[in-house]
Amino acid sequence: MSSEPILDIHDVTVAYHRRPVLWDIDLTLTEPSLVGIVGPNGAGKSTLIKAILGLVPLASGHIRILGSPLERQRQRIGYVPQRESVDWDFPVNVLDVVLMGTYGRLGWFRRPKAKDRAWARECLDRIGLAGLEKHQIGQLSGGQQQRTFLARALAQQADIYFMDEPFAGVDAATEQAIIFLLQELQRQGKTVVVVHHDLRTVPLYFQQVLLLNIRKVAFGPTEAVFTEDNLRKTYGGRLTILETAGQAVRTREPTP
Amino acid sequence: MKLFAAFDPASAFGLLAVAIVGNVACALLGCYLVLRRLSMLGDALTHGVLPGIALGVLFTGSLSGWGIMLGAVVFGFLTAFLTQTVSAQAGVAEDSSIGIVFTTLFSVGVILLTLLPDMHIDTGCVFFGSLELVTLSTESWLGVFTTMVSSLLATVAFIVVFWKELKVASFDSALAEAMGYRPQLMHYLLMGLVSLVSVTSFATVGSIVVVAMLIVPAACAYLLTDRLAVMLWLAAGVGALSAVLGYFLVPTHGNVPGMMAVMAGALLLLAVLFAPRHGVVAKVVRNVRLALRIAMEDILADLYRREESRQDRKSDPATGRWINRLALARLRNSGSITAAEVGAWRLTDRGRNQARSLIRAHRLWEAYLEKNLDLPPDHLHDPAMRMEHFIGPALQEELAAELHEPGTDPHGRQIPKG
Amino acid sequence: MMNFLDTLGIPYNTRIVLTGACLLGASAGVIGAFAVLRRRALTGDALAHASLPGVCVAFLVVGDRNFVSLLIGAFLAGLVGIGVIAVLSRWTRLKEDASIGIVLGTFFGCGTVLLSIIQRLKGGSPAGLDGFILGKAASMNFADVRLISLLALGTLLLMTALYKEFKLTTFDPGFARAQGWPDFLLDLTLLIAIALTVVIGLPAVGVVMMAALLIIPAVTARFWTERLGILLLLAAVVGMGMGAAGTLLSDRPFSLPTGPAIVLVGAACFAISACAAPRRGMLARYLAQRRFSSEMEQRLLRLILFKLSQRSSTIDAEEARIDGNWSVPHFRWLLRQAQKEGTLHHDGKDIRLTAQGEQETARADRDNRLWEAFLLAHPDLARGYAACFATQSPEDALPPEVLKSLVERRPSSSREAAT
Repeated sequence: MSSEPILDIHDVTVAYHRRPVLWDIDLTLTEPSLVGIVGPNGAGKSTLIKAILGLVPLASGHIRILGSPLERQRQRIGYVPQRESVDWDFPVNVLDVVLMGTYGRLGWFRRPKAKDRAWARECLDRIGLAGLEKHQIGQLSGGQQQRTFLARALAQQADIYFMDEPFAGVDAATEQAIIFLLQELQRQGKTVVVVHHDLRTVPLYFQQVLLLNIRKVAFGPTEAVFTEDNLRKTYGGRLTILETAGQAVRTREPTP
Repeated sequence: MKLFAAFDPASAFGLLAVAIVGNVACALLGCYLVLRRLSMLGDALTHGVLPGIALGVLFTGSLSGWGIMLGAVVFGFLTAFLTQTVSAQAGVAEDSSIGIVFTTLFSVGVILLTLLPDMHIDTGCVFFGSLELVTLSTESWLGVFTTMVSSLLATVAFIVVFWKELKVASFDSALAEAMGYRPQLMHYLLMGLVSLVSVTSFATVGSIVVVAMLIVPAACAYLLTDRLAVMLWLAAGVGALSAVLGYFLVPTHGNVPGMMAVMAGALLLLAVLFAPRHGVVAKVVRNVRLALRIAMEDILADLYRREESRQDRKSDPATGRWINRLALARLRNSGSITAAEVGAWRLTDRGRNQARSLIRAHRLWEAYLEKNLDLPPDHLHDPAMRMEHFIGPALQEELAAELHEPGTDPHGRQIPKG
Repeated sequence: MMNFLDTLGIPYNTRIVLTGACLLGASAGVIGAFAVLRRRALTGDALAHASLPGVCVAFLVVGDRNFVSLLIGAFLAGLVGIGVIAVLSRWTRLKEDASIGIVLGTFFGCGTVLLSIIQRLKGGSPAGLDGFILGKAASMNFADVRLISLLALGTLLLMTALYKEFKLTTFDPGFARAQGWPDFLLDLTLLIAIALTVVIGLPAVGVVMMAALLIIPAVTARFWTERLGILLLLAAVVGMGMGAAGTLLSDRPFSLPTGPAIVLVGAACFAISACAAPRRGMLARYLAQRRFSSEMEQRLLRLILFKLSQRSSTIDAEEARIDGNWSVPHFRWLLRQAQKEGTLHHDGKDIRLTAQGEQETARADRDNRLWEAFLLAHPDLARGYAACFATQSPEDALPPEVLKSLVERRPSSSREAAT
């Protein structure tokens, strides 16, 4: 492994209309792993990802990816936005969307070739959407749309992925397919940073977890950080879900 | 009707050629406006470029040529920029911001035009267009036609060169931004071209009809297809077709550009009604078909249940809504049910097999709901009534496997074997 | 009023136009405010364009330039246009912006065709109908002004009668429906009011300017107030001012066309408000943003200086600079600011805190830790206090009992605690 940290976030503050949504976030990620970002609504999870990708301006601080500023590393970064962020009535088919993943590598003006098309098909295949490539994206189910986005991320051939709630509103089979893919990416030495909602599955899916509530509450290996105490510091004490989650931590099994 | 009245090729086809070329250019750009929800910004641009035209005329002294082109593109950028600035920096809602910017720039343009009394453009001309004027002399026709063709070529070149960039920026601008493509740059280039095309169309079709030519063919194509490339071709076709129809169907001495807009609107109406997947008729047919299938299946299931409880079917199911009567007729014709006497319907073997699958789906679903959702028994039937029509054999087997092939449903009735 | 203007030497004709323009501006301002607040700013524009075929059909049917029948035609066509927009955006996959554009373009196109037919039938002139599009304020006569006065009166009555109801449905239509208010009917009433305003205003100011008259006063007024009642009042005043100033500008010695003059006066009001309004204006926003950034940076500088000062009493400037990721000139500027406030001495290489500086940095660190402790202890309250985080001390922002419980917990230093 190179000595450069994969992701280095230094004292980052992001504010909308002078109201901080992220405040003094400071963390360094050195080992390739699956990283979950969890926190209550409005904790700034999506904003953190957008800040890393340069989609929102920083009020202060700086971010380095694989040792350099974002601009020089764009091709090594993959992004899966929230599913609702795009218009699913847009007249493109599944293969078109997946091909968009190769655009970053192609650069200005060059068109995807047969080779890229074959690669996009392979990505579709790996996420279990083979045979749907000619479908218009609006005809897909929610889970299939999410898988299409994942296939697109896969087609980006990035080293570090950022995914904004890839498990939101998907069926169990899709969730399985996605997590399987994430684990495969991780085995290839890639890093995947995922905004995640379901506390029960956090210990199962992620090796490292960032607990976020405007500030960083805790970041580190899941077994050390994903504790009832930290969850209470993140969510407050009122949520009963914390207990199930806490139980999940202890038993390392998903609750039904 | 103009069809035979004015068939002087020099004017007729010349005029039509200008209109077709202009409409195609508009339609192509319009696709991106419609997809990016920028239709009203397109409208704003066609008004906002007026000061640019006036200044262009003021400085070059000519109604055609590079002066008004440059002016229009500059003011097109300005319109787009001001709209964005007013909404982002001053916190004004986007549609209000569009409304303020284009009316203001248009007013500036009108006032500038009053400074040019000897030039033959006035607000009326800008609004209504005057396609007929184009043919007054061959020289001016050639000029207009060349400009038109150049802006069409510029549009086509833009779309071909930036095909991939435009696509990703329109579909998912966050991804485009993250990949280092500049969606903002694409936006301004697009706006520049819209200004260019609308100024070339100004003298011929007028500023409002340009809006129709930008948006209506694109909207029409959007209803007809799910592929971007096809949409562009279709939009171009609709644009050209409205030019042709408008030209030939216009009442004598009627306003040709206006008729083109009306024809585009008529084509859109056809698309709204008859588009294969998104059209109103297609939707109605789909709904009726589904309702019919559900009605047929409900009759089958009902007869099966009566057989099970050894009740004879006394009441005629066809007394209900028309759809039930239709369903009954179709079931009889397909040999799923027969009647020994009037109103006493029975299942045939074929019908019984169909009904069995339905009842199996219904009862499996009840069992599944009871197991997983903890619903009281009297809340199981209604959801199952809805779901039974959508649970095919594959899903039935999955359910059965998960429930370990239960013999009975929560009400204790037997679940038929698959 | 008339006599007063008379003494100013304003001729009768101008007075007529002036009165008409003022009243129209005021009505459009008030009605437009609701259109803008309901995110329907461009509905008026679409309506204005869509009314043209109605004018033409009315003319063809009635056969002369009967003003009232033309208005009725315009009104009906406008409503049909709005209906088509609603149908297209609800029943097809077309979005609202495209639907508006479609109606605007095709209805207007249809109008131009009818207009050209009328032109042929009546020979030569478009029988003054094009005035409906371009607007001829200068030719406003007493009857027109009487109609506009009726409109203004109607608007006033409508607002007095249904103010509460409109306020509710505009702010929260879902809640209004749940409360049993006939949301759709109220919406329709508003739409009809917009349509009436537009068709009555059209002959005076024209299609484009009518849109401006609906939108500009409301948006301008919005910069100055947060209250709906005052907003309506201000919008009426701005609309009236637009009408008055525009009319005067169209008279000698300026002789500008009336409609554009009205719009430009409005645009000037808008531009001034957008720049200079106290809280919502761009200048105020920019300054607040600047102040915020500089407060954030000073805060960060204090935290860094505190951390480094715990190790030794002289701080290596370069180390502090790198820690804050500042550029050399920017860091120098920051230090100069701090020096001016008397918090530190700085000789180019080393930084020494003054006694005041020590206090301030220690306080910054304490505030930071208190905020952190607050967030950990009350994560559910975090968003409510987000605006205070960066720039206020928790001692000023938090309720005393919450603060007390935090102090009792004695939080450890923030930076170590988190890692």
